[in-house]
Amino acid sequence: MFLIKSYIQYPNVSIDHYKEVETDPFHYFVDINNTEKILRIKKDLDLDYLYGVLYLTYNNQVIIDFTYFDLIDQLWAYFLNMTKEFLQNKKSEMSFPDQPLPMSMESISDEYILFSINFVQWKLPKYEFLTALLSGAKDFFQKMILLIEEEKDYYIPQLNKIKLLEPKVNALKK
Amino acid sequence: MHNNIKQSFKLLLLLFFFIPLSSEWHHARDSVPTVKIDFNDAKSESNISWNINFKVRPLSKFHQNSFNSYNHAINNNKLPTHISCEPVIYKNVSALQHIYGPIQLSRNGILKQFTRNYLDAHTTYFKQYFIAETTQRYLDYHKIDLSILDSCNGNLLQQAVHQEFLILADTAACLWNKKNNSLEVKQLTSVIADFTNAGTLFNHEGEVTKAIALADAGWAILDCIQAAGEGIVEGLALVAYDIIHPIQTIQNFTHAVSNCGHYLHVVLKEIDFVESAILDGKFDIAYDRYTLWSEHCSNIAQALNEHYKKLALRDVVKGVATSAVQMYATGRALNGLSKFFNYANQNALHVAQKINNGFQESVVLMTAEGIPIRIAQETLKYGQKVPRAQDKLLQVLSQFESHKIKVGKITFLLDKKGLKHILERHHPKYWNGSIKPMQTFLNEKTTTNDIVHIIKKVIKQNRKLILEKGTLDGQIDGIVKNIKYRVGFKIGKIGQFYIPLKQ
Repeated sequence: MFLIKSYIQYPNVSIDHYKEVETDPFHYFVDINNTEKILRIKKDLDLDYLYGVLYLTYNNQVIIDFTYFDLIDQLWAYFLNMTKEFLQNKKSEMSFPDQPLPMSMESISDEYILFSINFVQWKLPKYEFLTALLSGAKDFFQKMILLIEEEKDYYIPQLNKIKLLEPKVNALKK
Repeated sequence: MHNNIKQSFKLLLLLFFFIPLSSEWHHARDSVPTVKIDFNDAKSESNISWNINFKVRPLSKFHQNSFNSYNHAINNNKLPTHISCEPVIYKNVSALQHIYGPIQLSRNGILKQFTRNYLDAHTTYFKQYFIAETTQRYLDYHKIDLSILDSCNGNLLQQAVHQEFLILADTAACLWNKKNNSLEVKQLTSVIADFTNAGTLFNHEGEVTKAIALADAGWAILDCIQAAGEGIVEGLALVAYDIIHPIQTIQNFTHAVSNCGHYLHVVLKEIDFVESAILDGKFDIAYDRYTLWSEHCSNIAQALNEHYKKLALRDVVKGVATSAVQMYATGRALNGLSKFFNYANQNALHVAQKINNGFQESVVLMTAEGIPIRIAQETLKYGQKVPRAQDKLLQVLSQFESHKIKVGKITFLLDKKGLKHILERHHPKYWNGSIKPMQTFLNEKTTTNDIVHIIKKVIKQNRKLILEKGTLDGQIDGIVKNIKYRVGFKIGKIGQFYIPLKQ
């Protein structure tokens, strides 16, 4: 079972070294479901460079942890591009928006996908993985439109992308 | 011949460095020593003007001997015994001025000879020095190789600075020897040992400005110990009484602390200068949070020392001894700073607790445990004035104008904010010091014009793809001069530019 959560980095809380966040990640990041807090910090957020975390686990094993913080809205958009490319070519590659951290997807069978992040490979159930990604992205962009409407020009096209991708991913269901 | 050219080049550099350094001392702050060197004054002979507003104390026997031997060294080299300059006006004198003052005066005189291009001053020669037994034990205890202090091969200024380090080491050794049971004295004299080691090595390599900065910092720390030892500071009463004569006013302690902060800042700046390529961003962070200094400094020191070990193996083959020594000296100096700030860190909690318990802050900061904290605060104050990577970045940004790059009907924009982000994240000169799991850097020599030029080329190489997709978001890759670059943009705004791992 996949668990995907999105977090936003608090403004004015700098991270000098990525390992700093390991001990107390919630000192640095706020869950996007914590709307009250996000509305409070919104005025201090740099919307061009919105840092955060896409936290991903599979059966309680952490695939993407808090140390992989990056430009969160762009990272989600990149994941959508990656999914689109994967559905077209059965493989795709990209790096994180703000660091050359590589990720790739490759179909290894009808049921499984090989997902690689920072040279660590995961054999994952294809349909569940892509569905979880789309659902995580949808949740993120829908909440962001409500919380940060100033950026809706960026978020609406992403939601449209999700709409187009959903039936294609559903078609993978056996 | 080659050596001569190298030597001349070093001297030229030396002269170049002294001019900004001298102006650096013209701080307007009351608490900073005002030292003025008039390089243009050609007529003065022995008009040494002193503006001293404190009681001049007689030198102790120990210091008298040190200073005599210092003058003896100068006389032996047929230098005029008059210091033919009118350079030094001391204001807000610090506690050890009766020792340090004459040394500084002589040093200034030699500097002046350099600027006047006296041949004698530029001649290099070998000279052996005597190291007192107490000093030998002190150096041994701090694992300092005695051979670096028992001789010096250098010009007049290098010899003078070498002698100065010997006096500094002698003074610290005496203090260390007599008050070995005082933790404060032990800790602070250990910092001076590191500075002596690093400074002597810098001096031997011809990096005299760095050596002088370290010597000044060492003297300043001794000043603070002395002030503490004179009973001004609770807990250290009479520590240094045997060695240094008492002073009367509590004000001198404040000045000593201020000076110490000033000189430690100079040391940091000098070290930053040596390793600027590596350290630029690191010290920016350090300025903001002095409590982290110790960690940063010790990490850097460790890294440099490791590098030194590696270099040592290659010394014989490749003859890169100079670079190895520089690395070692920098590491050792940073180690000194690390110890100092560690000591401040250790005491910070106790001091905070005392203040919380209702003690007056100004009083607590004058206790033995408060000294390093107070000095660290002073250093922080001065440190903030140093041109930092951030300032360099702002300078570059102020000269940058936004660039629009058109592909068909699509327009991409690289504005100041985008460039700032790119430079802070991926340019070694302007890097903000943040470390992510994966990091690549552009070539250090890459200019903003280069960045614009490369981005334009990458976009041009992807023209077809961009027009097909009509995209204003995502990443594109391109190869310029055999290097792969990645450009990232969001709604047409270029926000990322870096070198990907896969080339």
